[in-house]
Amino acid sequence: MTSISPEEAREALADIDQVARQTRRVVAGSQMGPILLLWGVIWMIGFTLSFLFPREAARIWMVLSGAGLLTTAVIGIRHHRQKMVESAQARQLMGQLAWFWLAVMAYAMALTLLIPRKNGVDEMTLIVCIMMLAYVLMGIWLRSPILVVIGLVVTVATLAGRAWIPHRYFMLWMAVFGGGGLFFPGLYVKLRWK
Amino acid sequence: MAELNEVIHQTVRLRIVAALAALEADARVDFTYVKNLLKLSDGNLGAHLMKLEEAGYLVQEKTFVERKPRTYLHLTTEGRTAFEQHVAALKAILGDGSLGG
Repeated sequence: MTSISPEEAREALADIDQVARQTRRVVAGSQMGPILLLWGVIWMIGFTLSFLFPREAARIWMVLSGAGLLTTAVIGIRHHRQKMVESAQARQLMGQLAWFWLAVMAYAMALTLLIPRKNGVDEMTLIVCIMMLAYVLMGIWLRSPILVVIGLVVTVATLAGRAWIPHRYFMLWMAVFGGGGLFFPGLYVKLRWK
Repeated sequence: MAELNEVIHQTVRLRIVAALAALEADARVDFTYVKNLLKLSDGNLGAHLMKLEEAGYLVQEKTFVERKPRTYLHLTTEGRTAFEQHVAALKAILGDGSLGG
């Protein structure tokens, strides 16, 4: 029978914990990193263009959101085809997440269409807060603190921007803190979670 | 009281099993993926996988994905149970009887 000291047992448990965390991070990060990067870039471009061409904002966001959804689907399909980790349970979860995001987007769209708002700043604040609530919920669901932190930080930055930044510069503020709030964590995940 | 498992206790095998046990119970993981994750050579990983397979803790499935050969690793129910018992035994040594990974 194998016998070890408490110190060796502690080291073995620490090693198990470290490997388990690393494995979950690598698996989650291989898909989450590129998607965060993608939407970070889309938000940076979208908010910057909305600042430069406010009258075209609706059209800009329609095109960018469509391109983003399409690219997200391509990333998901490519990831699935690589088949590095195969699991029926994980596939089922991906399906649930896709429905979750469709529901969030449908709510965001319906609320912006049905609830009267004063200006583009209020509209963007509402949409961003709904999206960030979805990040927080997804983070709780997937036990991913980074998603909860992103959701909370971007929500606070958005509300602070709406309250204290002159409306004319709100879109630029959002390009930095909204886009950056997705892009930099995405970069971190891509570079560090491997 | 749970006892330490001599097959799993070896450092590299412990890391292999810990990595597989961290995923869903039905997960199959690519050989190269595990090799890169744990920074092992083909030969080293292969040797340890053989030991785990002999003990009935792991299954290696050889298949083709887009006409390229692939080897998938899957932790068996026995392997998962043995790992959980090993973790319980480690915790017992520290005076913490709770189960888990």
